[in-house]
Amino acid sequence: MEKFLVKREKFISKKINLEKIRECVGKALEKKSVHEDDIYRMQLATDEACSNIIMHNYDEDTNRPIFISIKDLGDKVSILIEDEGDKFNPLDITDPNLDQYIEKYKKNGLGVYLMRRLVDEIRYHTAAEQGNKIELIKYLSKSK
Amino acid sequence: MEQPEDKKIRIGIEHLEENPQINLIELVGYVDSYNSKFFQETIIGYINNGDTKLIMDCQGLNYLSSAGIGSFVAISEELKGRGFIVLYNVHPKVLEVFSLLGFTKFFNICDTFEEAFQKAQELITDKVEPALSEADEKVTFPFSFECKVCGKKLKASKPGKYSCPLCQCSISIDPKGHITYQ
Repeated sequence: MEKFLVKREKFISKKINLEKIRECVGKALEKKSVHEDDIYRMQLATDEACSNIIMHNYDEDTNRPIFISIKDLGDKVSILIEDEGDKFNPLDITDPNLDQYIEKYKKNGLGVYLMRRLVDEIRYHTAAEQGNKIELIKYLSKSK
Repeated sequence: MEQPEDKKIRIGIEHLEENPQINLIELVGYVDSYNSKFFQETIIGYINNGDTKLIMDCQGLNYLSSAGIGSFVAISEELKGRGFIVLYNVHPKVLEVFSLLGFTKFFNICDTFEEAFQKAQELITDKVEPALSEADEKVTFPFSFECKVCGKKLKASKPGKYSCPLCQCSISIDPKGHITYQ
């Protein structure tokens, strides 16, 4: 049985709003009594997805919408993040070579890798006609 | 581009009474892609002012995203060959971000101030100075060098442990000419 914990809440694409987005995720998942470690992981994964949207899909344009929907799917929770920016499928990004990362002092490009490590599933909705829809899913019975 | 007005991170710095060469930095707040540049530039500003031996109290750091990790990497790069950073009191959730990226081996992370201070002291005294650049192919003995502690000109006949006749510091020289002071 699906139940919306947050239904398409709109945020403006300013980086300062990342804190509000994290709070939105936190409050919704607290209602579902999700373990605090998993709440933190979902907040971080959502932050990474939204940071990518602001920096890449919107090219730092600070007046574009980001929509967040959070669903209770019984044994799992889903966070759907929608934007109206350039097409970008984070699943196309390959994992970085972390040792090389350290050796060469690289600073960017860890967000998608971190998202993959924090949640159980990432779905990119290719049917979206414009913009992007990315869904982050966390199984609540699994400890990750 | 957004300019962070409310920085969302408070950064305090002071010289340690126990060893004024070392600076203690205290963080309160979060580091994400909103304020990571501010955080990074503030710390690099301290480094460029000569504060290169840093212990960072992370108890008040309640959130760190990959942008914040990028800032720590940039700070480490700035300190390369100039100093060090030791973190302590790192919140388990923040530590998890370092762990998930496999970066715990890259950073000096301690549990308590005492451990962090000891680590910093070790990093100061056990500094390994390559006597020759990596481009040099071979070291020949007897080998002349200058004591880094007191500046006295010394000569080593072979690799091994020595004591500086002037300042009495302990010096080890390996077959490749790397000198370690203790």
